[in-house]
Amino acid sequence: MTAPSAVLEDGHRELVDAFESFIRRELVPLAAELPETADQVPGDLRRYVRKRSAALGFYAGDYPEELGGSDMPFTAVVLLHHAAGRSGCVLAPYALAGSDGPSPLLRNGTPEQVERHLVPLVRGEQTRCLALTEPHAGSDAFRLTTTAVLDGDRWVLNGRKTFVSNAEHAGIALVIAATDLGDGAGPTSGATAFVLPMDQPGLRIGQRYEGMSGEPLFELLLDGVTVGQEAVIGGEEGIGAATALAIDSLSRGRLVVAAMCNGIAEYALRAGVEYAKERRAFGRVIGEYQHVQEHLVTTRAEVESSKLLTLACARLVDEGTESPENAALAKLTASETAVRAVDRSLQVHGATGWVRGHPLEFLYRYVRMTTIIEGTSEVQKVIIARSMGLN
Amino acid sequence: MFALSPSQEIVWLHEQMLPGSRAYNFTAVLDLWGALDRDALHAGLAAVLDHHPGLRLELVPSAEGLPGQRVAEGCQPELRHSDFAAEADPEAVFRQLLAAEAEEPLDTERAPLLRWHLVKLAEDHHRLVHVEHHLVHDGHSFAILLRDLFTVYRARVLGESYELATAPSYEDHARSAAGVSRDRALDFWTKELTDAPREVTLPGLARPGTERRHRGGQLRQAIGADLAGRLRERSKTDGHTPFSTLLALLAELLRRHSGHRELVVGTAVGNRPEGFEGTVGMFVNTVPLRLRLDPAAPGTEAVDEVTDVLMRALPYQDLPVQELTRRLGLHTSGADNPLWNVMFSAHDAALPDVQAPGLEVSLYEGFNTGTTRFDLDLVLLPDDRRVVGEKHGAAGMTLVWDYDADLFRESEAVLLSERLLELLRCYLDQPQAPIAELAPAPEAEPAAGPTAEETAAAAPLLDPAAAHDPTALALLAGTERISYGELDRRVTELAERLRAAGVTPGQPVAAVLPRGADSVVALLACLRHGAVYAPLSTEDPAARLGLLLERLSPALVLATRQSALALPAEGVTPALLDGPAFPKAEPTAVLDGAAYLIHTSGSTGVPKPVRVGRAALAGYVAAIAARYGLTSADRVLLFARPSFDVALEEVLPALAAGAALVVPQREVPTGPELVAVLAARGVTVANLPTSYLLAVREDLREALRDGRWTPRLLVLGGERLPARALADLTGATTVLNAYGVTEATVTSTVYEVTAADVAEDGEIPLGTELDGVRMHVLDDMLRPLPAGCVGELVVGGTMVADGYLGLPEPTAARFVTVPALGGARVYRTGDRGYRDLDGRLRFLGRADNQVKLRGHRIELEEIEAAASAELGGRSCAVVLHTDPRTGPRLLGFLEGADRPDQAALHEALARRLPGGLVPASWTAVAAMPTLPGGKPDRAALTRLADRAGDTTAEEPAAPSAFADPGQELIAAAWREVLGHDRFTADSHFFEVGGHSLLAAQLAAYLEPHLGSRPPLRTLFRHAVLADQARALAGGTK
Ligand SMILES: Cc1cc2nc3c(=O)[nH]c(=O)nc-3n(C[C@H](O)[C@H](O)[C@H](O)COP(=O)(O)OP(=O)(O)OC[C@H]3O[C@@H](n4cnc5c(N)ncnc54)[C@H](O)[C@@H]3O)c2cc1C
Repeated sequence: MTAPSAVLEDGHRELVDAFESFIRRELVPLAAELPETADQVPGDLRRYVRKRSAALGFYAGDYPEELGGSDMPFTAVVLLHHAAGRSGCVLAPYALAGSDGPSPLLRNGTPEQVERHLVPLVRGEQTRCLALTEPHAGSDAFRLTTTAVLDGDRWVLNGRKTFVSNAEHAGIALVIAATDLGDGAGPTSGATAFVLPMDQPGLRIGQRYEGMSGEPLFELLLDGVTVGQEAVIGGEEGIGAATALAIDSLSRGRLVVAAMCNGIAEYALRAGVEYAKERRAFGRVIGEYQHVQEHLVTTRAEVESSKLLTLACARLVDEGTESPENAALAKLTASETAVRAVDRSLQVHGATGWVRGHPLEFLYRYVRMTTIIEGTSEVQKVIIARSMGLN
Repeated sequence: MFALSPSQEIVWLHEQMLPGSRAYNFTAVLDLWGALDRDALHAGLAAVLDHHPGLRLELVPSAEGLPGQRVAEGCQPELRHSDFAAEADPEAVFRQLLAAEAEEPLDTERAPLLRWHLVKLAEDHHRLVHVEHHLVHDGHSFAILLRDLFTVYRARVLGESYELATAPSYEDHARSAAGVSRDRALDFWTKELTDAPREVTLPGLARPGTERRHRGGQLRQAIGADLAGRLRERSKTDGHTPFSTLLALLAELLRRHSGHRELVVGTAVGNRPEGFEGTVGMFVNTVPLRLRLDPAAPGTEAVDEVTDVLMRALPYQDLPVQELTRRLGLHTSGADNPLWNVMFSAHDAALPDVQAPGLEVSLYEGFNTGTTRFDLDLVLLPDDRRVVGEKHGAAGMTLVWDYDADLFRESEAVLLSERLLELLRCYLDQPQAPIAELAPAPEAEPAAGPTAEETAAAAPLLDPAAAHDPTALALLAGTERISYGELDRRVTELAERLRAAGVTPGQPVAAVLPRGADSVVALLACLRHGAVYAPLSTEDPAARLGLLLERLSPALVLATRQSALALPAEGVTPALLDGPAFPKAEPTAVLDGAAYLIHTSGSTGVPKPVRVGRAALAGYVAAIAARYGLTSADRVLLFARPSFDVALEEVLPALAAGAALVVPQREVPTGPELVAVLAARGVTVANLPTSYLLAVREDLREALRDGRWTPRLLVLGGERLPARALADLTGATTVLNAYGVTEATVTSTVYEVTAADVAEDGEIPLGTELDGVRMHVLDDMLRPLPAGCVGELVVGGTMVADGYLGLPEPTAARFVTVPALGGARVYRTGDRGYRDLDGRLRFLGRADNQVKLRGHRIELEEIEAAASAELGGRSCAVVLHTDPRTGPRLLGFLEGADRPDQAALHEALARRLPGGLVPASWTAVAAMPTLPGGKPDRAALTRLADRAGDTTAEEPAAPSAFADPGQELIAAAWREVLGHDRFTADSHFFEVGGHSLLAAQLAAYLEPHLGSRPPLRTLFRHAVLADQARALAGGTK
């Protein structure tokens, strides 16, 4: 199969080859340590993969060298995420910085915060979690009830965050809390981002939620957490600026998810095609039946389009001309495509693909989160609609 | 011109093989005290040259390969002069000169093949250095030369006339020797040497695998007058010679150092025909003496036996040795004599009683020429210094030891010579004592066993789960992470379940569990409860497991739902760890004091359960933890299967030290998979079977190089460790070679491999004993041998197992008490080896056909029996074959033309045998090569396998199928000299009828085609046709 998207991959071939070789030579063998039915990767292995990948220059590659990154263009990062998804290796995602890696929020931190918190994240030495969602604030993320109140020169935080991923492994939590901006709009007039060490007194993990697959989510309880000014991301200027900061960084996060989705879709497609060429029914390989072809051909068309869209958006990011609705288009397309691609490939596999331990069985559950995280598909559509002047 | 005599032929051939060798320069020094008449001396030298045509021989090159020779006329003596009288240290300058003279070649194509150098040391002291080529020399001739020289000298000084005795010429001898029929002698020797060992190897002293450059070292050993007198006396009384007595003792010395009772030693004999007593020339032949030693026989009988051999050989000693090697079809590679590598000869040609007026003459002979033809070449000189003329007082004797300096260091030659002398002394003291009892080894210190207190203190070693910080990590397996607290909880629970089921302490409990947390918990629970842990392999066929369980008759069989599938469908009710309440324990015997039962493979085809006691295990755990320096910071790989005792070495010492175990999830990980676990899990101590290491070494090397894996210790064992495989490993981590047997609690000795070991590429030592272990090297009479001697390795000390459960006979055969060790109980490993001079034990091989492969001790007969049964009695044989590319594997051979159905046979055997015992492939052979007793000749089969590995073409190529003009040319030459064309490009010259003389012809044939005559050495080095073509015609200039 030749892919039209190759046009946009030029210039990064060597990097992607090196990354794929790393996956093949080091991560696939290490994945042998995980039972086929295991959804969760032990912390020590995640840590090892992250640090190893950072040492090889893949992890958080788009961060500047002085922060421990490799200064690579964002397009390259997108291609790596794509390769990770395409590899089908459960450890590959941990080799790249995702939602537990260096946060764009911290790039706006004070020099001390960058040094103390961001650099270790870029180097893969530690991870973080982001506590934004609340029981009553999901898509509507900034309707916060968690508050940060200034008491003298100390901030006191109270509230309940939920669906926080990576809370059990993270070294720091980025907590978004409502603050009184003194503009008369009340105690929740603005949102401020705080960086807290996970062992901060008053901060603790509450309920644990097992998901359909992969990582569990956690409740994060803040009970009179008292911190100084140094915990406010961006310092003085960061007060009330969380919404702006978050929106600023949305595109990259969404495109990374999109790239991973495209990779997964491609993996599912390949698995389906291979299986269809081997599995026989009624005296023929099933790939000869049009209904089976339908699944695979449709997927192919969707995957190729989605990939082109994602790569084009990544290039816009590198050129500094991205706009939120483009990333929304890409994320929407890629995640929906991936969910369908896995579903169809599983269908082509029949019971073989449904059995616990089969990669498609796992992916079927795993890929499902992609239309929810980083903004649900509906939310992406809202953004797109807005860009078309529809509301 | 006439041909070389057979004796000369050998000398010539040898020099072709080793150009530059001075092994055939005979050098002697005459001390001349008093007033020397130089003119008379010169006249004497000229006269002997003139009188003896044999001294004027020179070689004439010929087109046929071998040169001819002729007598030169009008030869003048070559006499050099030096005056060192004014030197500060004349002796030192003389030594230099002597060395230079001995080293300087003689031109064999220009007579005379001898020269002299007269050195003045003082007014009244001269030395005459005599250098002569062996083509014209032997001891007897030298005596004639001296006699005539001083006859003329004396006549000249006194102004008298003289007459020298006449004798037939050497030419007559050479011509007549050519026509003699030697059939009777050939028959005698062929019979005498049937199945004789070819080589005496002294692995405990000789550096193995060294390239032989025939560099010689020399040692002159004086046998004092007193001892020499007793030797002469004793020999005379018994009707022997000192030579035969010493030869018998040398044979005993070689037995101890080679581990073989039977050996062949060469000796030089004079083959001067009647009537040639006065002829000067080369009349020496060498003959093989096949000595069989009964170490239990009294010394005097051994000497009788040796004298007998000498007497029997006497009538046939004229046979030129090269004819014998040709008849026996032995090829000589290079200059090595294919029949023997140790020589022992006596120089006893009587020296003339000459009187030179005004001079006192004495002779010093046998100088180090810096080259040697043999590994060991001893010459017995009947005197300490040979006095030409009147003799004063009782004489000692001299043993000149020429040794291959690439093989032996001087200290080792000294040790051998001292041991020979010690044997001689002991023999003379007790000639009736069994020869093996002479000069016994000094007693070894017994192993320090643990005291009662130590044993008591060792109790936590066998119950480590509760002994550490409960939050500390105890085991990492895939996604499982078990703390000591959790481990202790699980051990407590299982121990309680055992108790509840009615298992009493001392009863065996079988465990059919894969490697992992369950197997560790089962081991610890058994140890805590006092039950005897008996792990079995989940990989074994159900029928085999059934048999083993029947014999063990365990109180319970522990398994999981999954592993229970390996058990026979009927007759066994497993106690499922992940199931409901255990079945009631079966009533069974109580094995007091036992800790575990682990099976080893046995010659009967059914593995033997080895019973190891708790004290032995506790001592062992402590010894390993100490030797490996384990701490709670370590992460120790758990790689071995539970049914394999190495698993105990991985689990117990690590847990005793509070370290964490890391269990890879793949049964046998690939190299990248292994490296991934080692690196990601930060393993600090890994114990791998040698064969597995060979398979994964490239990956390990890479991980060590790029810093992904930084272990503290890499422990290897289970099989011979090939040094080369360890390249780059020793630099990156500490590599240990661990040696041991199940019958003596896993590991007995440990050795830290050095970079030097790897560079030398020799056998990696087994090392030294763990605390509590005492290894001995015993000869086949169960007598301890000292360092450097070869015998069976036996294990003594506190970790010897109790024996084989329910098998009194094998137990009695292998676990023995040794009177010569003060009644110590030891286990006989059946491994051959020795303790080197630095005190390290070294492995040589299996004494029987038990081989080790991937850590299994395998009886080849067991596999053969199974295969033969499968094939309805077809004769078959199995060898352990090591291909440098694939590593060691088992190869099977079947008699008959039918090619076996590989897949079917493989499958059938897999049902009968554990996986490790199924041969990798089967080859049909038309006729099975066998030993005299009818057993398969494994050595021949191994060679077959070697050859099969060397060539890809299965069928011999058609004679014309040579790859290029170079091969065509060489093939034509071979056809010419061999007289047939039954060879291919892969044929070995010496295996298709070639021998050294034909090689000389080959060289001559090739000369016009190649433009120059190829050196014989090249032909010997590249004896395979294709190789020869490449070396000669391939333009490797
Ligand atoms: C795997 C996973 C990891 C996560 N990790 C984190 C994390 O680390 N930190 C964190 O803070 N949160 C995290 N979340 C939470 C995530 O951000 C929210 O789930 C997401 O924002 C959606 O919110 P919600 O689940 O409350 O759904 P809701 O917002 O309650 O939405 C319910 C449904 O209504 C739709 N909907 C909502 N608003 C509109 C609208 N305006 N128009 C049309 N449809 C609408 C949604 O699309 C959805 O279908 C994670 C979630 C998942 C699944």
